[in-house]
Amino acid sequence: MNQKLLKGVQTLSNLTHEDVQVGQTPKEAVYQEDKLVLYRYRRVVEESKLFKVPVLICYALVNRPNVADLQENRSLIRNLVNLGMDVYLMDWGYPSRADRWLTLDDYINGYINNCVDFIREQHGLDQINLLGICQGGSMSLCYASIYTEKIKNLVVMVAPVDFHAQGKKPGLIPHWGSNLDAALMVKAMGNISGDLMNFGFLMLQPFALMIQKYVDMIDIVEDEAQLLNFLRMEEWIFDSPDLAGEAYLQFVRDFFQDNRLIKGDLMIGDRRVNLSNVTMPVLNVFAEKDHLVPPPSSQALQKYVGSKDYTESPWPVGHIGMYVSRKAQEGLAPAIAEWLKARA
Amino acid sequence: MVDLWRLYMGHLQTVAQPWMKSWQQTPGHLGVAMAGEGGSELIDLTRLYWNAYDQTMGSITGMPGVGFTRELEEKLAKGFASWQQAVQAMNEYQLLMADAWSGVHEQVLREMMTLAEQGKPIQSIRDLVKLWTGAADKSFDEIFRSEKYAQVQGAFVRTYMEYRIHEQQIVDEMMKYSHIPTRTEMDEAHRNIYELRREVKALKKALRETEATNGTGKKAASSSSSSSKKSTPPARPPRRCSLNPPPRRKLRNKIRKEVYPCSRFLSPFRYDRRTPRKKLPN
Repeated sequence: MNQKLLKGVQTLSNLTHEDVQVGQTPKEAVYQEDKLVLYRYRRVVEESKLFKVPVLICYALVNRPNVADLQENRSLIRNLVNLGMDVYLMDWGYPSRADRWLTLDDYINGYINNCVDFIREQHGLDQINLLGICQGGSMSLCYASIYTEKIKNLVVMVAPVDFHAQGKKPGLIPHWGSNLDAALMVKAMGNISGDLMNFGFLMLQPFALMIQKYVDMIDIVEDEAQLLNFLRMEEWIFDSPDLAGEAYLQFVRDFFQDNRLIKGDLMIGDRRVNLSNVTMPVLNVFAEKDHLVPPPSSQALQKYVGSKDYTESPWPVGHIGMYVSRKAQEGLAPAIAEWLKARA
Repeated sequence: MVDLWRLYMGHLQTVAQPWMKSWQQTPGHLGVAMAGEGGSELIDLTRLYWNAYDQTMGSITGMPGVGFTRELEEKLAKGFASWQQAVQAMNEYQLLMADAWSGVHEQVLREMMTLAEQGKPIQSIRDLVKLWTGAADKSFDEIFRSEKYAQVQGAFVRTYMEYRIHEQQIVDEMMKYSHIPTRTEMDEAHRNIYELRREVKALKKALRETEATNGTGKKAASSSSSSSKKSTPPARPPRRCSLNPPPRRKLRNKIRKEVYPCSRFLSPFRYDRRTPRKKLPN
């Protein structure tokens, strides 16, 4: 073990911060609004093989979207691009205290809608495909229910829909959240610190995530490639933007506590969200071992969605495994591409 | 003189009684805690003392102040009271955590004995760490899932947030005479900027729509889609959604009437009524 540690220190000392870069699939910024940047990924297949309808990825407000493009061989985005998709990604940026008043109305009726319009205008299309991930999936559902005419196909990935649905083991987050006064937290702190959120996630399994993980690191510390994989994941986990106070409050109150997304009385600005309006084809991708979004929470979509073309795609992985596991790496992007191709 | 002495003794009794009561009840709680009830019993024990404090010294901080500094004193007193509540809640949280820790040791010993009985004793430090972290997570998970934990954690967060709000009020008061903007002032400015930004965006959108309707500007996405379809648009620099050159006066007036009949929405000086209305640049 001592030898391993020594070699590990040597390997670590040969690395620099630049070696631990994430989100490296080539892309360019095509639209910017406040802190939001819309990226378009560089296409790698010839024109004739390119999907005609672009895909816009909507990631969660919690953490950074880089998990979908962690490194060359663990990248959902790169896989989609390699399969000929024209991929756009909304990067929400890092909200500062000046963004404390941003609401979900600004995010959904503002930023998402403007990005969708921008892409439609650029491509001369009436409709585009939308891929929502995690909380971004819930937001995409809201968007698709309000702006049905602009979305051709909707893909949601590990997206919570019924926030009160429980898995085999009841989730800790809803249990803790039941006694948290979100309004008071926003009043006291303005934005909700990303570090605080991260600490909450670590507390779900404090010893496995704060001790055992680093003990296990000894096994891989000699191998530079594996060590870089580990460090990139660390980079993603702890690179946590703060959450805009008002948007956080609305999400906790309306989604987590009141479960309004499935009740049909959720208001985003002056627009009502009713999932029965989501009539376009829907692909619901979820993780069977998800401890953050239990499968029944995602699967509830089938009951409420108005689409007659609804497909479920379960994966035998956890929440993060959905982006980085070998199974997902090999099969997820082709499955999405195939499903979209059939509905092009 | 006798009356004064009686009054003094009576008051002393009022102060001493709550403390005497809590001391009397201490051995009972300690006994139950030592018998294995753990954190919950210790929480009840500390509550006894906090109650005694509230009934005696605590009431001093709640007394209304008088004179020139009464406002500041009241803020300080409220701040102190909220800090005291936060400390109390934090103590209760820590006691519950201590309970979880004692569960960890029990769990580790139990699992080590089970492994030894199965003829698979721990043979390395790493095995021990693995067993220990697994046992610790199990023990903490049990506590985390309890209703007690949700209540204690909720109270800790609530009291701490209330303390932060009082703390901000005191800091705001102290900074009032310095040359540094306070958090409250910054929040107010940020909110004004945010609301103005929303209005500007709404106006720009309305302008674009009017232009599209009149055929003077770019066609909207929906109308352009039916014409030439492009699957690969040329690369272009990122488009910034910032202020465009101001619209022509005629068009702007049209929007003002049609979209925002209340013309004050167009004024950047909306929030300061004392500032004389200025003409908007063309």
